[in-house]
Amino acid sequence: MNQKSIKTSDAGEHKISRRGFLGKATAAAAATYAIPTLIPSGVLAANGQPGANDRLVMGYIGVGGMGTGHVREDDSTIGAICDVDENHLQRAAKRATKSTPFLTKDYRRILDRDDIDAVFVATPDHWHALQMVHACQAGKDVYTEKPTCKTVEEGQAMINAAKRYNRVVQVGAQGRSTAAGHVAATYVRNGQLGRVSRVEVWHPDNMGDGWGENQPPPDHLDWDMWLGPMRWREYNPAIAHFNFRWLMDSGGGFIRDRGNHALNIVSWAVGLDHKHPVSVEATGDPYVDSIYDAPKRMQARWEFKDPDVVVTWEQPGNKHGIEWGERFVGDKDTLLVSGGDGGCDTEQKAKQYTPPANGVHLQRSTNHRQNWIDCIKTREEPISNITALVNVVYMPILALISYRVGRKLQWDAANLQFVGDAEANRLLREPYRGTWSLG
Amino acid sequence: MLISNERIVGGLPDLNAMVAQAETTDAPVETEDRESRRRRSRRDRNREPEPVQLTAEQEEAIRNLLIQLQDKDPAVRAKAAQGAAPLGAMAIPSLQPLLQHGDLKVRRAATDALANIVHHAARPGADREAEAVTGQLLAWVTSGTSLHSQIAAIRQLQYVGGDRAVPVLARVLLVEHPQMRQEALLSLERIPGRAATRALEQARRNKRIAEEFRPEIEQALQRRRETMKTVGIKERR
Repeated sequence: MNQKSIKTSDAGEHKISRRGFLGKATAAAAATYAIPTLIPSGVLAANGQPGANDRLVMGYIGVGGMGTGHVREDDSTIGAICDVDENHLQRAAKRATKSTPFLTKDYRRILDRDDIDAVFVATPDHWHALQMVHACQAGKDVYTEKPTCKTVEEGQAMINAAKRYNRVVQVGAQGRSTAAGHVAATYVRNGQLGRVSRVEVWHPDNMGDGWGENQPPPDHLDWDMWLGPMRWREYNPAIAHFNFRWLMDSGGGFIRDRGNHALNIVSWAVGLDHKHPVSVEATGDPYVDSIYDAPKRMQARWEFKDPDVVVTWEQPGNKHGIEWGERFVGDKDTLLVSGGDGGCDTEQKAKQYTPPANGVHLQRSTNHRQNWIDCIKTREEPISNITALVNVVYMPILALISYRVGRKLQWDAANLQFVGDAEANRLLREPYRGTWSLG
Repeated sequence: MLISNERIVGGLPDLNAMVAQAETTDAPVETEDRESRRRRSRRDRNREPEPVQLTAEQEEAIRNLLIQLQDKDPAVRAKAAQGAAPLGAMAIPSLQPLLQHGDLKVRRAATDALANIVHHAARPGADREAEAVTGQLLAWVTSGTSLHSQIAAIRQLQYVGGDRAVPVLARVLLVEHPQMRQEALLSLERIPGRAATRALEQARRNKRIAEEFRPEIEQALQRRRETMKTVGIKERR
């Protein structure tokens, strides 16, 4: 059995058994693509860890709109690429000029390879948790796109997997690696607004309309693998690829999509990374003439205790001359932040602020990808670490449950349950189709 | 084929006529063979929902709901679906024909109306409403007039169904229709309580379960056990 010796953050050396995702015979029989001859950095380094100067060998899982941008040859080698759409796969493969990556439609073939150090997960939302957990089980460090996950159960599984297998996991919530995100959070955390009692987040309506037409999937798309753990439904071009976001089974609308970005800045600035709301209330308007079943627009309100702060989400957007963003309201001042992703910005007063030596100094990252790669080598926690970003995405997840059941809900953070609402508690998880499992 | 609003003004719609006129392409799946029907206890049969006795006001409300769910204006359909929640179990029989309507948009509006009724009935402290809704949904599953309505009912039972729904869903695991039995499995996996766990354990051992389906049942059972360690489902009784 192949084992990797890894250094834990708190307990020295720890050995894990790598999980074999596919039988060797099956893998060999089905490996119809080019097989690379790469030497993983973990082999080169003396202690089984990538050395400071080693080039990591990356696997890329999901190379559609967002995932393609991750496929780069800067300080790493493109070792393997996976996508269920042959067109995506071939397009991404052209980005490799210094290696011949292994290509596959089944991500488990990448996880079974010893020559891959780490993986990017940039698939639709309903895949994130499953692929991240499986990658951790296979001993890979992971960069997983936002939204972090779909359900509370998935979130807990992701935190547990990263911890149990000592994996370095970065969530693609890039706002923490921007200068504006950093200075805004620093400004708020150092009390420049006084006591912050309210944060308003706003965003334009969800996109998409119409019905499309159920039809056989195109030859280049493996529809069954696109669905994966998701409830079966017929292929419809109005769903795949981009517009899966507007279906409850595969998305949840902007509140959990870009909301993951915006609420990430809120959490960092107000100090909610390890907090849960005590209540959530959400309402929304459904699409009126469309296949999509997520709300077209939503209003949500989360109440936190210690610190006592109310966070609100409002659609439509465009407030204060900003399409989407956040407004922090303190008893002394307010602060605006536009966006929350890699392109966020904030007011000059925050940019010009320097915290005192004994003030709050937040972790600094100027490049989200590089921060993760650096942390893989040092085994430190990345800036958008999995625990914080699971907590962040719980806000929209709980709000979508409140919208669905149509009532305000009280949240018991200690037991990860709603108080006295059996139906809402059923929605804390989503049964998977077939034999897919987080276990 | 659209069923015109005019046809159902002036009285409750003739449900049989509506069914006949719909473009039925979704034949229902028999969820119970003769042998199991014979063995099913009299008590179980007696728990099937009573025919709904409506007041004049309720008839009017349901009539309006059905008209609006078939309206050509999508905003009217969406508003009607949203407003269906308080009508509760009594509206469910009337929705069934719309679940096999020839127009996808009408089917969708009716499905949304059904979902809103279910979520409303499943609220805390409304056990009797939840029980009544469950009874109507189970009737759809066992004697549904279309596959659409059967699958819609199975899906909704995951939110509101309790122990009473378990035997019916367990029987659906035996059907040959892959999507239908898979939907039943997803619902059983979500329904709390030992009855659902036991039903999955029995199904795993049942020789009448399709062999290709058995691994999915085993995995559902495993996932259910894992879930109990974290969130959501808690065993009771």
